[in-house]
Amino acid sequence: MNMATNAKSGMKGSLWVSTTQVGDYKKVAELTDMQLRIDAQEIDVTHVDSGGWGDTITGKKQWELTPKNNLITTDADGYGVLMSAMLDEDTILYFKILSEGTPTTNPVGWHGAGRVLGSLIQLAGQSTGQRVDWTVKGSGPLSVIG
Amino acid sequence: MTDVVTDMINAIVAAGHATGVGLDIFAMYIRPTPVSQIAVLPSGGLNPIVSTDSAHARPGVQIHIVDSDLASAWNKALGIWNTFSNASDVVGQAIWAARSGPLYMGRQEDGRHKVMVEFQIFA
Repeated sequence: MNMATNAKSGMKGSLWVSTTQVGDYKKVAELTDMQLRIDAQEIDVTHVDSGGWGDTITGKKQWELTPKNNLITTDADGYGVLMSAMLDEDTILYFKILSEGTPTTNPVGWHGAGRVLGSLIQLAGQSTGQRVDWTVKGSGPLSVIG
Repeated sequence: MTDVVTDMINAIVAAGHATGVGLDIFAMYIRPTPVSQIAVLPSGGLNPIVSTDSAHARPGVQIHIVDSDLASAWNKALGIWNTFSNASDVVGQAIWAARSGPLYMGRQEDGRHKVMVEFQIFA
C-alpha cells in the first residue's frame, strides 16, 4: 500500500526504560498515548533600545514525557520499574522515546535520563479500563536518536 | 494509495486464511461459488489526516465470510480477527480491529451463513 503522505501512524511509537544508561532497555507495555514536551525558559532582555519590541534569550531547556498505558501490575519491566522509581526517594531512569523502531533495530526518536514525578492511576470506571498516566521529568539533556 | 482491498486480500492469503484470490477469496462481493468463501469490501474508514498540502488516508475494510457451516464461518472469522486485530506493517502502517469481535450477519437467500469482521487501517 502506497502512503499518500509522510504521516506516520501513532501505533509505531514506543517507550523503553532501563535503570542503567548502557543497559537492557525494556519496553513499557500497552501504551495508549504518549507525548514528549520540550521547552525552554524565556529570559526577557528587552531594553530601552529594543525599538518597542520585546527581546528574549533562551534560558534553561527541559523536557517532560507523559506516557499513558494500561495498568499491568504484573509487568515488572515496565510498570514495576516506573512505580519503584516513583515511590523511591530519588531514582534516575534512562529512557528511549521512539517514533519508530526498537532500541536495537532502526531506532528513531530521543533518549535521556529522567525521574518519574507523577502517576495518576485510573482504577475504577463504568466505561474505562484501568490505566496509568505517568509524568517523567528530564534530568539533563535529551538527545536525538536516528 | 493502492487498493486497500487488494492489500487486505493478499494479507489474508499470506496469513493462510484463504488459498488465493479468485479461488476462495474475492474483492467487493460474494460469488455464487465456492460455497465457502471470503469477500473483502472497502468500508470508507475514518476521516483522513489532513495538512495544508496532504491528506493521509485511514481506510477501513469489511471481511465477509460465508459458509454453509456456521461453525466454519465463525471460526474463520475469529482467526482473521485474531491475526489483524493489532498489527504493524502488515496492511498499511497499522491495522486494528474496528470492533471487539465478529458479527453474525444471518443467512443469505442461498442458505449460507455470513459472518463479518471489520478493521481500521493507517495507510
